[in-house]
This record gives sequence, C-alpha cells and structure tokens, in this order.
Amino acid sequence: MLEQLDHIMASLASFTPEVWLIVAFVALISWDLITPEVQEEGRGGFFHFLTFLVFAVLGLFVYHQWQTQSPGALFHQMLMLDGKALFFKALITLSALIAILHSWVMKRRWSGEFFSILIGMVFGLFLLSMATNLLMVYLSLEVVSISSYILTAFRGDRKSSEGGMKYVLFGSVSSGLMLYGMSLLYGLTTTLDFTNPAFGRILLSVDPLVSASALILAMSGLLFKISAVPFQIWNPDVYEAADTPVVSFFSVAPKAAAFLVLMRLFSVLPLNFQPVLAVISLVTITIGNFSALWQTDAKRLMAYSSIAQSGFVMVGLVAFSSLGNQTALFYLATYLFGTMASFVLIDALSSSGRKNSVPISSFNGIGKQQPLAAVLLTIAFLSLVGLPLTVGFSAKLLVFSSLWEAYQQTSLNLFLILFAFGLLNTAVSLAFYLKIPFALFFRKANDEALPVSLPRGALFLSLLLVLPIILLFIKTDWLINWISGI
Amino acid sequence: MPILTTLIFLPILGSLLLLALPQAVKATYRWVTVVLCLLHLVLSSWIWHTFDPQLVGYQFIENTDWITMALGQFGIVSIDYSLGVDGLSLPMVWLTSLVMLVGAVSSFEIKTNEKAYYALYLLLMGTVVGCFVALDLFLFFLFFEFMLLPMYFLIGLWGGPRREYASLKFFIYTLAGSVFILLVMIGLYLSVIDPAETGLSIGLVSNPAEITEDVVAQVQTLIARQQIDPAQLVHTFEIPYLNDGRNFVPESLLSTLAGHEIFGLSARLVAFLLLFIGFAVKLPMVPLHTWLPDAHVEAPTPISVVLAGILLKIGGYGFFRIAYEIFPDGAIYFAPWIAGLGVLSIIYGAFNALSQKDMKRLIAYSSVSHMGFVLLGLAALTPEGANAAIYQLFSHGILSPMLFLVVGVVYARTHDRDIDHYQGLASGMPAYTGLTAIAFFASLGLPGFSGFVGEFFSLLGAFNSIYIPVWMVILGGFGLILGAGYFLWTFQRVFLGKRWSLYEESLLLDLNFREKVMLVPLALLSLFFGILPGTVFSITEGYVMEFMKHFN
Repeated sequence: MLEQLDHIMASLASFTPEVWLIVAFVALISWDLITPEVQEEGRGGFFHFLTFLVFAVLGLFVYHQWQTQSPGALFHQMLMLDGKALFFKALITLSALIAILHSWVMKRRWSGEFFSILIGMVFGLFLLSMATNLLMVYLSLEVVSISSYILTAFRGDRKSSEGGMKYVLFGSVSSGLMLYGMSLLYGLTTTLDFTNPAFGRILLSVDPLVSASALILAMSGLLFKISAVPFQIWNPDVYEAADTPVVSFFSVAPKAAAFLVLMRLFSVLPLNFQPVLAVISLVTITIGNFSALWQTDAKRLMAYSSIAQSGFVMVGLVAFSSLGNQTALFYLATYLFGTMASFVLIDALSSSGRKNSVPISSFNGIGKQQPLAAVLLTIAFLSLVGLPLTVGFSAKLLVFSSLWEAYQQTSLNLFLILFAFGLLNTAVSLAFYLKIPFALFFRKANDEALPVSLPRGALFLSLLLVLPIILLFIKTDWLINWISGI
Repeated sequence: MPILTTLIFLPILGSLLLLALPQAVKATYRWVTVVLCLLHLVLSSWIWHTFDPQLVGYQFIENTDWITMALGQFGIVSIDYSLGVDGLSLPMVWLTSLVMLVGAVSSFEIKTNEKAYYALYLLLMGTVVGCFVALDLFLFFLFFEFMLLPMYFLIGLWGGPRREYASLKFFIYTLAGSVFILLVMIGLYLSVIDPAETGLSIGLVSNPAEITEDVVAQVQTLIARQQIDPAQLVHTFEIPYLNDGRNFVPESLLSTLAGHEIFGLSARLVAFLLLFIGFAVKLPMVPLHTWLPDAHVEAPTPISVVLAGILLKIGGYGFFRIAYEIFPDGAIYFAPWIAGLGVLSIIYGAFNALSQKDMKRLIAYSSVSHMGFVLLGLAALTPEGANAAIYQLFSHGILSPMLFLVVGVVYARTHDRDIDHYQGLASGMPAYTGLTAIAFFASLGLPGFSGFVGEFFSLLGAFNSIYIPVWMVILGGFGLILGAGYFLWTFQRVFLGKRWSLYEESLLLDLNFREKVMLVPLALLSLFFGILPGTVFSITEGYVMEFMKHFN
C-alpha cells in the first residue's frame, strides 16, 4: 500500500506539465466566470495573452523535463515518459503556441471557454503522447476528441454546427470501433499494456486474420485522428467548418500525438503487418492528392493536403525501423512549420472576409499588393510539395530513404511500389499546391474585392515560421542528429 | 578566389541586389544584369583559358562539408558542397555565360515589372551554372529542381496568351522527370560509401590530409568483405564516388555484383532507365517532348533563348554525367533502343517542324530534332559519337538562341509569327535576311558552320558503333534532309518572292543596333566553331577518353 503511494508520488513529480495544465484550465475558466465580459463579441487580446503565457510556461516545464528526466514508466505502466514523448510534447506545445498567436494577431475574439477548452485539448494530447496502455489511449483520445468537437462547432453558425455534428458522428463511430478492437486485443493477450513483450508475442501466435482485424479495429481511432484512408471523410468538412487558427492546430497537434501512439504500437507488432500499412499509406497519399486537385476552396484544399501529408509520414512508420521512426519524426516536425505557416497566410491574405469558406479566387491578384507575404506562402507550399531549398525536400528524402532501406531488407515489392508512386505523387501535388500562388501572382484582382490589410503581427509570425523551413534545409543535420539522439 | 562559387553566386547576389534597388532607378536594372552577365562571361572565358586539357579529372575543385547526418545503426550520410569542371562541363558553363548575356540584351523588350523579371532571370542563371559545376548529386539535384521555379514564373508572368497553361505544364512535366531522378538518387546514396571519409570514421587515418590512394583501396577491400560496422559507414552523394563499382556496399540493391532484380529486370538497369526518363524529359526526347513547343510558344523571346540555349543542355549533360557514367551497363544494354528513340526524335521533330505555321513552334520542333542527334551520338558509345554529342549540345546552344532571336525580330514588330503572313521580306530588310540565312543554313548543317560538325560526327559515330543497326543511322541521316527541307521552305516563304505582308510596311523595319549586337556575334561564333571545331574538341577529348573507359 505504502509502496503504491510512493510510486504515485514519484510519478506525480514527473507529471508537472500536466498538473500545470489542469491548474491553468481551472484558473482560466473561473476567471472567465467571475469577470464579466465587457463586449458582446467575446474575449480578445488579454485572454490570448494569458493563454499564450500558459503555453509558454508549459514549454519551460517540458524543457526542464527534457534536461532532467530519465525515461521511465509512470502510474503503473499507464504512461511512459521517454525522449519521444517529450519530443512530441514539445511539438504539441509549439503548435499550441503558434495557434494562439495566430488567433491573436488575426484579432479573433472568443468567449472565454474557448481558451480553457484549448488548454484541455493540450492536456489530452500530452496524455496521449505518453499513453502505453490501451485504456489510457482510449481515455486521452476521448479528451482530445470531445475538445475538438466543441472547438469545431464553437462559432455556432450553421456551417460550423454542421461540421461539428459530422465530426461527432464520425468520431464516435471510430472510437466505438476502436473500443471494440481493444476489447478483442485484451481478450487475446490478457494485457492492456501494449509495450509488454507478451502482447506482441501472443498476437504473433494467434490466427493472423484475428489479430489483424483486432488491430485494425483498435487502430481506427488513431487512423481517424491522422485522417488516414478510410477514416479521412470528416477532414474537409471539419476544416471548412472550424475557424482557421483552430484548423491549423488540428492539422498538427492531434496528428502528431496519434502518430506517436501508432509508432509505439508498431514497435511491438509482428512484421507481417507491414504490407497492410504500406497499402494504407499509399492509398492515403493518392486519395489525398487526387481529391485536392479538384478543390476550389483553400481550406478544403488544405484538408486534402493534410490527408496526403499523413500518408507521407506513414511511409516512415511502414519501414518498422528506428531509421523510419526518426525520419517520420523529422517529417512531422517540419510539416508543422510548412502547414501552420500556410494557415496563417491563407487567413491573412484572403480577401474573403474571414468566413468559413475561403475560395481560392479570393486570393486573386493579392501578390501585387502583398509581395512579401505572398512569397512566404509560396515557400510554405513548396515545402509541402517537397521542393529543394525547403525542408520539405529533406523530409521526403529521409522518409523515402528509410523505405528504401526497408525494401533492401525485406525485398517486398509492395515497398517499391509505394516508393515509386509515393514520390511520383509529389509531382501531382504540385498541381494543387500551386493553385493559390498561381491566383496570388498570375490572376488579376477581383473587381469587388476589398484590399487586404495584412496585420503586421501576421507577417511577423509567418516570417518566423518560414525561416525554419529554409534554415532546416540548409542545416538538416541539426534537427535529424538531435532526433536520432532521442 | 573560389572561382566556381563566384560563378554560381555572382548572379544570385545580383538578383538580391536588384530586389534591394529602389523602383526609382528602374532603368538601371537591365544594365546591372547585362554587366553581371558580361562579367560572368569574362570569368568563364578565363576558366576556359586556364583549363588544362591534358589533365585527367576535375579542375578548379572546391570541396566543403555541408550536411553530415548521423543516423545511428544506419550509418552516416555526408553531403558535400563539391564543385569542379572537366571537359564536359566547361563548354556548358561557358555557353551558359554567353547565352545568358545574349538573353539579357534581348530582355530589353520586357516592359512590365522589370525588377521581378531581372531578379528571377539572374536567379535562374545561378542555378543553371550550379547544375553544371556541382559534383555532389544532392547539390546537382537541388539546382536542377530549383531552376524550375524561376522558369515557371518567367514563363507564367511575362509569357504569351496561354502562358498559364504552358508554365504549369512545363513545371509539372519537368518535376515529374526529376522525381524519376530522385528515386535513383535515394537508391544510390544508400548503396555507395565514401571510402575516404569512411577511412576517417573507422580510424584508419586520423586526419583528412593523410588519405592516400592506398587508404582508399584498403577501405574498399574492407567494404567488399563487409568488415565495417554499418554505423560507421559514410554514405555519399559525390558523383566521382558513385561511378566506381568498388564503393558500393556489396549486398546493396544497386551494387554491380549483387545482381538484384526488380520485377524481373536487373536493379541497375531499372535505375538507368529511370535516370534516362528523367533526363529525357529535360532534353527533350520524343515522346516526352510535348511540354517544349508549348513552353517555347508562350515564353517571351529571351526566355525561349535561354530555354533552348541552355536548359535543354542540362538534359544532355545529365545523360553523360549521371546516367551513363554511373550505370554504363545500362547504357550498353539499352544502346539500340536509345539510338532508336534518338532517330525517332530526329524524324518526328523534323516532320512536325515541316507542318508548323507558327515560326516559334517550328523552331521548337527543330530543337527536338537536333537533340535527337545528341541521343544518337551518345548511344553509339564510340569516342566520335560522344565527342559529337557534346559538340552538338554546344553548337545548338549557339544556334538555337539565334533562331529564336530571329523569330523574335518579327514578333517584336507585329506580334505575329505566322509564316503565311509574310512574304519577300528580303527586300527592305537586308540585314535581317542575311542573318536569318546564316542562322538557318548553320542549323540545317551547312559545312563551315558549327551545326554541321555535330550532326556529321554523330552520324559517323553511330555508323562505327557496334550497338546500333545501320538502318537506324541511315534513317537518322534523312533527318538532315528534312531539316534542310523545313528551313529552306520557311526561308523561301518568308523572305523570297514579291514583298507582301499583313502589316504596314512602316512596321517591318530592318534590324536595329541592339538586335545586331545579339545576332552578329552568334553568327560569327557559329562560323568560328564550324571552321575550328578543334577549339571545342581539344577540351572534350580528354573527358571523352575517360568516359569511354566505363564502356570497355
């Protein structure tokens, strides 16, 4: 009994960032309750500042853990705090900081709960990135999901309610499937701790059909979060419904955490699971890219782009090797800059007046008015395509290198197909990523369009995000050497 | 002074300088560009002058470590900033300086948004030079792909009516081509080890100065016996290491020994094919050429000049430097096919040229036809053939800008390039007629001009080749006749006969001073290199001797 208490106390010491989030959550929500809202339209700069402060301090906590923490399990194998978890916590914190800055510089106003729910979502993501127990995965995933549902529908107009509703429906189906799969896995292996060696060993011994279907079902919640095919349908609607800073956060943080859990799960899976993942990855890339070709709305386009990008990260996971995992981490970290910079600039440059949908034609001719911002957006998109001089190229080079290495080891022809078609997809993706730069530079401005007033903060923030895109290409070794040391 | 770095970064810094210049001094942009290009030409002429053709291998070498990635058990990946020129790249570098200078003078006709135009133009120049002097495949690829971006904007923003379609088609086609190259590049660096740096990493020697050929040989033996811990292997992109079979990890997919197969074909052959397709898009080769006529027709004259004059040459250069040198086995295996495709390009391009109404489209198809001779000479795998292929690249780099400038002359006056809308221009435009005649006759292969040398030796090389059936070469020879056909017929229709055109006489004035400044030197150069082909051959010979060693 006493031992248990000791263990919990010791675990709590490593739980400071999460405790901080809970404290901040409660504090912020109480503050909102006791101070009446001055204006009808909601909380502006001050709450943004507070939330920014919360995330900044969170970053310090994570940094402190990075310096002092040795890897270890917490709370009776419920959670695992290792270098990878900390890396992802850092990514999540960074994306939360960027999202809140985005909302701030674009002068968004929210009612007070928005900020608390965002903090709650980060809390869920932190738990998810440490979860090594199936129940813990389910629990933290639900925290994340419920927060996301609310954030999607937050504006309360018809479009965002519709998007939020769709999100809830698809989300609850996939978490239902997930729970079912988990119960099957528990029945098969009699353990919920999937890092337990027995977990993988037993899965290998049962009928492959049974273990494969149980695993796919159990993974469905995670595949839903990374929007891999066939769980990608919700993506465009939600991206269109939610407000841009929120979408920007959705496109990075939940994905990153879900990828980490997948990575942990794959490290115990039997090798014969590789082809399934290779197929999912290839189909995700292809469907994402080809659907994006037909989009006329910038946010829907980004939704399909993010589907395709998930497929590329999966390429790293398919390799089932430490090299593959490292390159997937690299890809995710650099994807953060490319995609979040795009969202800031899409939000700032469109002349559509901040509605749900941002038609691509609303960018017509803006390049002449705002050359610097337009160039920055082009760089961000080129990074998502993966052209040289942007880190997107290094990232693609690395994940496909790990796939080639896996092919050399397994001689699985499927890998070769993924290798060739995955890379050829980048040429396809160029066609739609160029749509917005094309409108910016080549098209004449619409007659009725208002001139775009670009907030100085937005320009500064996007500059800050685009800089690493170039810098990390020139010094790729800084980031990848750091990652391979984790 | 690191001269090759200067050649790359002089234009790129110039491009940044232009961006910093205020709009008030708009008139100076063009002169800044011309002066930079002139300086560039002086520098590359100096390199040509000091280059020692007797020496084997690269000269003016620069090598700095750039990116070193330690990937744990997988090993170390080393990317170097590595530059150098040899008998293949030197003529191309010089050609770049020349064509870009001509293009800069021709750019005077650009009247909108000059700042962005000249900045992109100089950026393009830097990347093209970088492509020719890079000795690290990663660096090469970086320049190769990045070059598409300024080109996309140059066509898309200053081009003709269908510029949006043409620029996007150009971008996607060539990007798809470069993905094929990327596929092989990944396979290559994962298979190839830098023996010198591996010697350092396993502690055979303690500092880079001690690396000798013995050490390299010792490391290569260790690699062959697989006695090095994979974590200590240094993977490399350096082209000089890629074309030596001893640097391949024995069980790696692209190793010369392992004989892996991909879908029933040897992995090395597949890799060669992919590289071949990648560069064939750029060259371009029939049937991957369809982006070229569109891009040419829509591009403004100076950009057509640069596109035909240099950008196509990168395709040919890539065949030599990368596809052929690294995978000679593939080159031998596919030689008859490549020759066949070369002949197809010659004939198909020529027939298409015959049927065109638009002069620019005609010239574009003549380019396709002329590039076919490069393929034919290359496929021969004989010293004459290889020399001729390089020479043909060089000569076409002088003649095609001339051809596009000639078309640009009428276009600048009437904005119409339709052959049927002009007749008998010879009376009233004597200088124009004379220079057009030189450009046409030189291009159709009249002895005494550079065009003849390249085509003649390509055919000769192909005749001597053991890989190419004679009927193909004879068929290729017909291309010469077709070439004479479309050039002479066009000349006759536009310049001879009774003077008539759709437009007022006052529009169709003879060449102005600026146009003469561009056309006359090119005509003289074509004559010079036609009479004294040895000036180029003496440079390329040494390279070709080394090149041929891969095929024996």
